[in-house]
Amino acid sequence: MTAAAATLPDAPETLARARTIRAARLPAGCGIDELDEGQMSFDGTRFLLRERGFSICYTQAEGLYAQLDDPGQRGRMELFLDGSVHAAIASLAGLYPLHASAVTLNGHVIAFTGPAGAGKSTLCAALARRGLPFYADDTLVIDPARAPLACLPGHKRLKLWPEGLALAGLQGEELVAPDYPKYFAQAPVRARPAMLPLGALVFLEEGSQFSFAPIGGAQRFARLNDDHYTAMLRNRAGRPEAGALFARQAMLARAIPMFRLARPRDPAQFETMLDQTILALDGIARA
Amino acid sequence: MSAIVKAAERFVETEIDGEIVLMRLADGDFYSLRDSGRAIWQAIDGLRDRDALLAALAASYEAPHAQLATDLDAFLADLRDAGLLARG
Repeated sequence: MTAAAATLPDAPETLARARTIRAARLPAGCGIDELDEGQMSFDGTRFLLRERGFSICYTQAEGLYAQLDDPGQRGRMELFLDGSVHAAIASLAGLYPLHASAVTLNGHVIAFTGPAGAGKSTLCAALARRGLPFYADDTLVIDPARAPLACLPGHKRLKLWPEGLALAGLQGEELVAPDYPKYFAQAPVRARPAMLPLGALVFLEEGSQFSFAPIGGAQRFARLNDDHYTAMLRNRAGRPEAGALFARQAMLARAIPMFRLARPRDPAQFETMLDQTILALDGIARA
Repeated sequence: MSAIVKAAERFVETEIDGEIVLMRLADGDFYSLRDSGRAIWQAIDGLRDRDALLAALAASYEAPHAQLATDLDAFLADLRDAGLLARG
């Protein structure tokens, strides 16, 4: 890999502008009444979300509306704005959100993906303790229009469960929300907030022993659809026809180096796993 | 025998690391072809019939002719079942 930081600022600025809330009341007739609490809908142009105490509506033409009916739910609303809403807005802007946390190594972003609870945030926070600058938590947005593929710096505060804090050796700063007992934390080393090339996408899995292996062939293609909640948003944004979706996914599958990291989830083996992970990442950084 | 023809309007394809990935447009199902499956797929040029495909396969693989014929017929049947070949 060769380090080549992207400097074009348009994607982060576009996203930040779109994230500006235009009004604290949803426009009449936006369709939110058709949703029950806990539901979201995305027909390719309009993103709607209804939760206990708040509702959100976004279209590219009309912008972002967020209606908070219960002030006690402000924290949860912020979580959704940073998560699903951010990913939907990014998708509509032609960007490619991944459910991933990331660190940097030699100027490249190393992203770790996996389902909720896979250990993405904990691993990246612990790698930051070992000196790999922290880049993004939980959502990583890629600009697929750039070559090499470029990542947007993370927009979320790091969140960890208490067990994750202990493994990463961090102190929790504050509870995320009363009914969501994760803690905000500060990664010990943070990357500068700049767009950087994507060096690798690593799929986290549980295994009886540590293994780190490249993913090749059609598996690279299939794994991009195995990206949990963001895949639905990406695939519907702008209602792309199937052939165009296929072509974009094929381009990304060819362009993104992918690896599978399997490891035991035993806390007693966590530091050893970190050593092995850093060694493996050094190997791909040298390649 | 008649030429075997791909149903090109029903799928899109790409190649990644030497494997061919096909997506059926009707439902988004994916198929991955490698090794002999890839060789057969690439040999289906709309001109060759089954025997010509078998001859092309025999030129590339050192396996008993009968075995190659069985494998080819099974693979062609799979492609037809998946709707990836034109009806002939």
